[in-house]
Amino acid sequence: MTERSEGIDDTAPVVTPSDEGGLTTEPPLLSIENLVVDFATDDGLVHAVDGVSLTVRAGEIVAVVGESGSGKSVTAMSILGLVRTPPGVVREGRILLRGEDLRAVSGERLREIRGGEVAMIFQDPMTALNPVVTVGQQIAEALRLHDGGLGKAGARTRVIELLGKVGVPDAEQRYRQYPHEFSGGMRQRAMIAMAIANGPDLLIADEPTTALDVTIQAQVLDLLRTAQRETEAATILITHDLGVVAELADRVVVMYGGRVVEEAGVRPLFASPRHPYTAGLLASVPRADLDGELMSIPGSPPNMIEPPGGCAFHPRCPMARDRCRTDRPELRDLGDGRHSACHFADELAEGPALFSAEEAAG
Amino acid sequence: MSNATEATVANGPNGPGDTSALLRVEDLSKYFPIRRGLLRRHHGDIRAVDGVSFSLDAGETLSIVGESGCGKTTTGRMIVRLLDPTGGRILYQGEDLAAARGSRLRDLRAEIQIMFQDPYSSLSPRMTVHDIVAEPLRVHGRYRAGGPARVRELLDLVGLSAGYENRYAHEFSGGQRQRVGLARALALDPKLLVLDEPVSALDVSIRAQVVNQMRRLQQTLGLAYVFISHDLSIVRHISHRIAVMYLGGIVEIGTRDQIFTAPQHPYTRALLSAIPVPDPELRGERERITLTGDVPDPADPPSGCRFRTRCWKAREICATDPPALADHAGDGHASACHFPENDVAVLP
Amino acid sequence: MSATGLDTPAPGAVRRSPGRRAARRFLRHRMAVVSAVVLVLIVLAAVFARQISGHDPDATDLFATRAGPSGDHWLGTDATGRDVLARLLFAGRVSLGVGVAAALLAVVLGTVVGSLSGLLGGWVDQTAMRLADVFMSFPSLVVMIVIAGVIGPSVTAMVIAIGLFQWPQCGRLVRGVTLAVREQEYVQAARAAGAGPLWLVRRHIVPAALPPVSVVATIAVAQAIGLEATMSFLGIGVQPPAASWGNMLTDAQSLTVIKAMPWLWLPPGLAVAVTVLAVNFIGDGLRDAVDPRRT
Repeated sequence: MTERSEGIDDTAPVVTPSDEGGLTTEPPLLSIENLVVDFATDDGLVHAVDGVSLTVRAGEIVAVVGESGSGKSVTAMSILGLVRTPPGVVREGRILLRGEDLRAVSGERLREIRGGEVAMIFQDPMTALNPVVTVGQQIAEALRLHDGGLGKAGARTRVIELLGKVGVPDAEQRYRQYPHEFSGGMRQRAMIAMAIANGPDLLIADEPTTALDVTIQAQVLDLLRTAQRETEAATILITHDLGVVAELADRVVVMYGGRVVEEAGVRPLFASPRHPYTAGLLASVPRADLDGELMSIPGSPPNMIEPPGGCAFHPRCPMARDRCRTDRPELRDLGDGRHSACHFADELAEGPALFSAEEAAG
Repeated sequence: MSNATEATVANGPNGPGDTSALLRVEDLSKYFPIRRGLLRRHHGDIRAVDGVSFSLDAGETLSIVGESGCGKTTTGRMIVRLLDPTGGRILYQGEDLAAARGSRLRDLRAEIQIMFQDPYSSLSPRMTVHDIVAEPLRVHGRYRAGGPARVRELLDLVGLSAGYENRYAHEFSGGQRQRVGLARALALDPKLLVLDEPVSALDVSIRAQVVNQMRRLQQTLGLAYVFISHDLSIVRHISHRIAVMYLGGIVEIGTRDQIFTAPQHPYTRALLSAIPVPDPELRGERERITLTGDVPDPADPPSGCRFRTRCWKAREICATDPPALADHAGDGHASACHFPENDVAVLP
Repeated sequence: MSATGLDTPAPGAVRRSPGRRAARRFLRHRMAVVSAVVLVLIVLAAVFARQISGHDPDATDLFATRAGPSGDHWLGTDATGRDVLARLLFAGRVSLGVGVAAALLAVVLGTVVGSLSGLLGGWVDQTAMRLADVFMSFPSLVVMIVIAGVIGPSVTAMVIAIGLFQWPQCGRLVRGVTLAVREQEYVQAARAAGAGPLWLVRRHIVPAALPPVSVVATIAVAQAIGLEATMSFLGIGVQPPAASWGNMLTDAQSLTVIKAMPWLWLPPGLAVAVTVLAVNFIGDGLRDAVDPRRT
């Protein structure tokens, strides 16, 4: 009888090795517990998020990695209650920001939190920027919404300072410009400025570099690092780009088929993955600095209307056995702050490469 | 202000003047006129592609890489005559494609096909997979004689079970749809395929499936590919030669190894250094060249070398004298820079 | 070399053609379904007019003029003793026929002009759209009176007049669809394979235009039926002794008739109203069914 994955137990203070090797004991800043989100579509009910739990500690950068159908974006949007209902339905789960359940708070409180304690950075800056209002005014508005005492002049000064911090040249002039007068990279900067304006405790960046050119991507990554250092905010970085993960993240949460399948510190994850999907993903990333076989995971992402029984990954897993078809694996604690939702995670610790180019010839 | 008019153009392993190339592009340009004012006066041009030259042999892959606005997609579309060039020649087996008309053009089209980036808009939502792949055959009147069998053969070639040919495109995943697009591109038995960012819209773990399939097909069918992409990592795995474009012109061209291990042009070096490498151990270890500023307005490009506004090496000569694409060492590796780097690796 | 089972569409992926999905959405719209049933009944009544009424619509009976409903004449008789029910049902054929024919003319004309306009652009487009503007800016009734005056009042004249009045709406719609579809990559792929404009129109643009055009077409049918009734009522449409709902209403121009003999004008009036309403609701249902946002 399979049980829903409970994820990490958050009633006790979380003990985890930090990057330096010491242990930190601290209640988490954000804790998502057993989130379940469905979407009603013409074709049926899509189980976008299927029992996801994860935590974020103050100041750390957590990358949530996954591909189509993994549920990573919906999870991120749920934090601030941004899932469109209908057709979305958050069926279960708690989202605790310092113990406060964001699903249970009043609309007013939620508005306070959005842009205040928790800020979001989107993939497309034009989602966040109003085309008919000047950039300066928009950021000023964001400031004044959360700080009633700030006057117009004060806000303007702050905005120019912020624009300078995010690397927008001629901030004084740019204040008066409209978003369409900014280039793509600069719009990203403006959006990040708006996000960090009120010194949030948590930044949620949803695929911030995905649509960008490589050279602009590099700029934005630097910027995210700067932003994080400035505000000392924790950051949830939603992405499918493992290169970005390697550059920025402290911890990595890997999602597949609406569930968390692995969680670990960034170095241990890349060095020795403990879930076949993670192993496959790492093997399939083409490297600009290496020659070699291009691996892939055979098959296609799962159908989230009728997900596979048992382990969501089993149809594509080279290690799949009978148990995998029937028993849904829980996210188990493997020690050292690592978790894996694979019945046979231990076998991966010492095993050879799972995915070969031949097998992967889908 | 073309970058390559009097240049010694790197034409690949056989050098200039070689007539065996399957495709030879000479000084290709595409200008989009800007019309302003009440009378729609011609105000100047957006030089999307400005004097591009390269060649391609049968069975070879030339990748064209660059960022948005560099003109790579426009170049690809001109090769398949979805866009008409403003200037230059496109020689396919010696015949100028740009000048072909009517039924000759139609016949030539069968030999040069294209595959698109977006798995969703590249397949008609109203047609079954069978009809999508059969369409080129029907256009050329080749469906009557053994059409259905040919469609099944094509689906098999790209790795899709033929049993699903009566399904509609929306029932398939992104990677499967791209395979359908590939099958359609192969329907008329072309010798050259233009692949316009074919895997950019796919999940990472699926990209390799499709790219591997393309490599296999290249070997079995002897296809030549023009692979357009902004993703240098994927490009490393499929290319024989690579051309780097910036603001409408080729700034560097060479074999895959030449480009990756010894890039000459500053832009190429910046591009390579900007790629995030999926290895946390290398964090902070790599030399990162971050380009300042943004890509200039293509309607008003900088004088001389187009890259000079963002180049850390720029001197006065760069503003006055547009550098030609030159092969200094005579080994087929050419770059358009007055101060090219040599023998310095960027990637660890 | 296909990997077994791994390249199949995901299990549970719904096997439904776009047509079937649209049909499902239509069926969810209650008023549209009811209206469709009503319309079918009306059409059947018109087709089996003779059997249902049992009378010849042109048979006069000067001994029973303007008689109220009775066992023999369920809806009474008109000014020359003809059976109202029979005339009503036969008139249905005319009105429905004109409605559909005119709308068809408008749709065909609009589709041809709109698609070629959108595809070819340039002066073709400019000319066609100016022409459409001209047709749209004419006051409909005045134009139709003129045409009726020139060609002579008849069913054909009405169909042409109404069709010419209605085509610009369809034309602009199809042009819009053409402009959108033209840029789609699957059309580019067809072009790259050597397809010419006619192929693109036939294979890609028309199927894409069909959903919105079907909505416009139903509205056109409703409008045409109304226009025919108006024209026949004014005497410039279907000429007596042929029956049409419009010219049956001509009788109702006297106050006595309106007050004392409702069976003369209520049936045709209601017939027009119900038919137009039903067609409009069907149009609403179609609009929901083909709404691309719901795909």
